[in-house]
Amino acid sequence: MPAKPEILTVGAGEENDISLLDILDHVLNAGVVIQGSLVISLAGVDLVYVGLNVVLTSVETALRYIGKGDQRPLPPPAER
Amino acid sequence: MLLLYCMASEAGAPPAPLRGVDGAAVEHADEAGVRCYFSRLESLPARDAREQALGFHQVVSAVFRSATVVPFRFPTVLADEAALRRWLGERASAVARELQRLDGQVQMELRISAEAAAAPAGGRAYLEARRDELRHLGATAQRARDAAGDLIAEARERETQHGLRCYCLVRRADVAAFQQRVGALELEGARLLVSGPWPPTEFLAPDVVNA
Repeated sequence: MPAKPEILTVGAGEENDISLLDILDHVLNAGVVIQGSLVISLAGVDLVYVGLNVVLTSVETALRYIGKGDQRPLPPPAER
Repeated sequence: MLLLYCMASEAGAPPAPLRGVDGAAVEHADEAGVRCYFSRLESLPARDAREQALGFHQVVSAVFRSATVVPFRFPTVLADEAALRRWLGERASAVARELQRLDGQVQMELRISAEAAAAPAGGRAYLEARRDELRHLGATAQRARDAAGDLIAEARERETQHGLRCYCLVRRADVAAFQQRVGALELEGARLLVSGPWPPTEFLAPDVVNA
């Protein structure tokens, strides 16, 4: 049976698990990188990045859990 | 230290006073027509990292609502305002060029993945299934681009672990029409998530992205 695309309008105030993951994906992976900025020398910041990236690598997987109209719950983080 | 959010044209009015990551005031520095938004932070602790990232997104979104922006990747940190002024002095003209080139345009994204299927047995069967799947996803991406063809100034595609991502540069005024046309597609054997509008980061010149 044919399915319809899902539309996520960013900034529309309708955040769900997937749109939050999408937002975090962009925040961490898109944009200008300044070579030699303090990011690489601050251990705490490195942890921020690594910690979030562990979750963000699962964005594409999480999207697979969206069905046509029936939104199954996301699996627990360990399975993503 | 300074946490950098994004850059926009100096010509536009800055959004109303903003609070950024950890409630810090959002300030800006101007150079060669480029306005750079930042906050002064004592530290960037690992705890509350998710909230900090979302706070970062809210600032970029507030600027992006009324202007074309070039965001920084979170977390991008410089030591102080002197370091920021030095960096802007070297880079502002290239950023201004990109802001002008992309003015009024936003990035819409298509995430295309295959419907879940049983894993094929054997290496050869897997490779053939993967090849067929990518062909099907590519055809789906093409259908989506065709549906909104006249609205797309430029498109780029990238293969991911689970499918394809397609980035489309469209005018901000055409976002609703883009969503409507792509949203009307009927899909067989594929899932499609349309997200946006985003700042047009995939269309930035490489010398601006890796600065």
